[in-house]
Amino acid sequence: MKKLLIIAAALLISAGTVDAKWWIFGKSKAEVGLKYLHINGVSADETGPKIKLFREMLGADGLVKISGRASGGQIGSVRLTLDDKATWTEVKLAANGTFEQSFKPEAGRTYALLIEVTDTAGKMNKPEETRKELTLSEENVQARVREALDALFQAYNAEDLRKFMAGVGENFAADKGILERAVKRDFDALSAINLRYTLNNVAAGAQGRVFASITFNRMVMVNKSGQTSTDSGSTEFVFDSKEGKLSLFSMKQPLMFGLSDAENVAIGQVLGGGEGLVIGPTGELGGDYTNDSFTDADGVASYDFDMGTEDQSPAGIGCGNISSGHVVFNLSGPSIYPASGALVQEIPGKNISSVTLADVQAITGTCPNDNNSGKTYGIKSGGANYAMEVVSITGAGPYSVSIKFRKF
Amino acid sequence: MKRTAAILSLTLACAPCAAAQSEFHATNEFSVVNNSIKGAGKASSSLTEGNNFLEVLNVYGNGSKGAWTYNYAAGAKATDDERNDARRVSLTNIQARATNKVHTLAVGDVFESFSQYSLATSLKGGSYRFAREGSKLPEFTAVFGSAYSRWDSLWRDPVTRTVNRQATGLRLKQQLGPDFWAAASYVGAKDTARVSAADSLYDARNYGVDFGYNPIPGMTMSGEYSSSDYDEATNGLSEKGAAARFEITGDADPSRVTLEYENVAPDFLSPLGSATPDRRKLKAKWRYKYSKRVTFNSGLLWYRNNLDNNVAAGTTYNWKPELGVSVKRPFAARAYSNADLSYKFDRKYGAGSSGADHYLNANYRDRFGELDSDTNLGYTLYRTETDVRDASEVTFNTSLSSRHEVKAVVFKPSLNLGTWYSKDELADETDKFYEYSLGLGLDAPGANLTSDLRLGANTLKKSAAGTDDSSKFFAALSAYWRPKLLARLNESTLFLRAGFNDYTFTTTSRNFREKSLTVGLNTAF
Repeated sequence: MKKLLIIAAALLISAGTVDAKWWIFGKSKAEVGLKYLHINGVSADETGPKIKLFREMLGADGLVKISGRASGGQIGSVRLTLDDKATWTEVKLAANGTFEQSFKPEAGRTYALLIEVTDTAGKMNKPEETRKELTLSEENVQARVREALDALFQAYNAEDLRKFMAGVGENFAADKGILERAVKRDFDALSAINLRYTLNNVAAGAQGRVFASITFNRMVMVNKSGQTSTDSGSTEFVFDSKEGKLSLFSMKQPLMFGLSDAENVAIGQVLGGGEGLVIGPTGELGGDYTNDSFTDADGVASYDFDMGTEDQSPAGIGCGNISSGHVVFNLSGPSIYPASGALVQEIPGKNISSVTLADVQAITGTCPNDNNSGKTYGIKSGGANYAMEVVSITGAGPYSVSIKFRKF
Repeated sequence: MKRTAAILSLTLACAPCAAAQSEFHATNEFSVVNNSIKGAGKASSSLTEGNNFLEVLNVYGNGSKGAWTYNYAAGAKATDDERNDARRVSLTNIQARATNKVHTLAVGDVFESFSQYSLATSLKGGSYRFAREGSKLPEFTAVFGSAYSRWDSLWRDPVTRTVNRQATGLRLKQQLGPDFWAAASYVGAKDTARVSAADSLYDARNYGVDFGYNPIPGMTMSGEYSSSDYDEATNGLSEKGAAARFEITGDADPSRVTLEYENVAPDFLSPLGSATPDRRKLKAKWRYKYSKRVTFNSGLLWYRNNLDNNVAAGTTYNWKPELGVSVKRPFAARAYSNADLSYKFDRKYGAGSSGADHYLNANYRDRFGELDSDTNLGYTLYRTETDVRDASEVTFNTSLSSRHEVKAVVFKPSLNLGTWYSKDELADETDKFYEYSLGLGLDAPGANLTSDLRLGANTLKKSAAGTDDSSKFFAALSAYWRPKLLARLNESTLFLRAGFNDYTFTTTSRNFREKSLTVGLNTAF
């Protein structure tokens, strides 16, 4: 930590005395033009030809600020137009070529902005190259969030990495480079992606950040196994509006994007939300699940997924009557049934890696009476959802039981 | 108590509604959907069969009274489709904010984003801020509330019940010069009322300082240091940790350079902020505009874990360099041509893992006559020394689109072709994926109508025994119409969305077909 503080202090002191811009490694040709242009603090290089402004992005005075710096020798004048060259306004120019101009936009109207730079010899830039169309939207923050989420979801569904990353902010909390590689791996691992969402909660706040909670519904085809997987649940995003539009700042688990490196992409987990779908290093669906095994002498045992413990002599007899744990094994059947207050049902065709929260939420059964080995079950108990794969049941008193389970 | 707090919050949030208001807006979207799913494999569908509805209402407004200005917003959602929401009716947001330019009060959804490590999530509660422009007094912010992601959780609805995380935050920010500010923050988080015995219950405190500095035009520096101290009841843990980050950015043509350093201790916990524990990270990025037509992008990201040498498996190191170039008009004669070329390398080793992945991508966009084209070619090589994933993959996509005006109608036909090829060298298996789609957009600006029809198919061919080949035929139609009849309702739009998906597999019992039809009305006033 001390080293960090020393480095930071040294940089702070030295930077204050630096005259040259050390990060400029070359110079553009001395053509008449703009060295840079910012619209409401956003570099025009980072916006498209059309810029949509929202009230929340304007200052308290409701003004749009255009600032820039003319380049190319001795600058004589800078003019700008907001109505596609119909009328021009000369802007006040500083000696170093910088200028600033503000205007109050009307909602719904489109402003065609072009900037003309002329040097003292009469040489001009090409104003068309500076053209930007600005509109002030009447939409509120909910519409902005939906627009940002729609763009991300559509690009992800279409497996278009370039469009997807255009919606991710440079300051993405878990690092944009990590997310980009993870999403690329997602696209190699999945096909026929179909993500949908509805908004649960939106809150805009300080520093231009916007919080959004959604309910999602997802179906994917896993290329490696050829299996489809569906799940649904709730998750959270934070967006940043520093770059002139809402761009993704952080995501929590269950993740919507970057499933291939969930550990490094997600910033925490939604309270009670679980882990959701993740993609393992081989490109197959995986997730954190727990392996456990136990032995039982009398053939009836209950199991508690939260504690990871079995009760070899549970109180009560029969389906739904046993008062400990979440699930009861009748090992001589073998069969399986819920403990008191729970539901349990087989989820056919799934294993512990491919079973989803939606699969578990859909169960309605109580007391399946079948051979358990190799089967996967969903368990609903209280407000919690679990999945369990029975790996094996061997022996005849004592019995050996091996299971895998996970909580959503 | 919680109910009282919730009612109080709602009452406060609605208070401005009763006051004289200068502006009020509302948006409403109502839609009805009919889904039909057929086939033996219909359980795999992510659609809910039958008729369902979705209603989303939002109101917002603002006004002033004396020296105070206020704004408010509220929203609700109703649906009978559990896949849209577990709740049939839910409050999506409610917020009221009043300010006299010095004191600012907010209740309901409050999102006081202090700093990355301290507070970066929204709360259901209230906040107060003191900030006097032009004064040397510091800016002060206080916030309290519950860190629920939705309002239903506040009243412990059985379906959305979750751990209650109560939060309190204080922040003092001081401008120390025209280009330099610093701030100190405290955030406390206490979990109560868990749902299951396994839920972690944290009682955490974060103390932090952060700053921002613009030493010369075009250069910004920012940094943060945060210390955490927490107790976790379920596992009986008590830990302390610290996190620090520093970033410097130089941005002026022709270059933009960013340098970042971050160190987050393994035991650092930020229940309301954003941090990946146990990570030391270095990052450098350089964007260089070589000329008006050529821009280079380069970057290097390095990070490792196991900062306290307590991970039994050992330390994992990651190197992620990248290099890219974008060329506008690579062929001088082609005014609309654009080319991008990028290479990314991903090296990960240690703790029993060793991988070296290479990502190459080339993109070319151009216009040929009235035809716009966008073509992408990617090559990825996954290599591991531990036989986890050794594969080479090729992706190719191209799209052609055009725009034609015939009287008052605009036609926008398009064609997309794509393929993905994967050779798994460990299993000696090959997967191939092909897709094509045709689209036709149709706009009638005079009639306020926009529509898009898209249909196509994709196929996944697998060589591995026991795995299914599959194919999907899809068709989707969307249409949005703003009839003059509804002009009184300003931005009212009628919309229709129809979709058809036919999934077929080698194992025919997995086959299913989905038909979906949605009609709705979007209104704003």
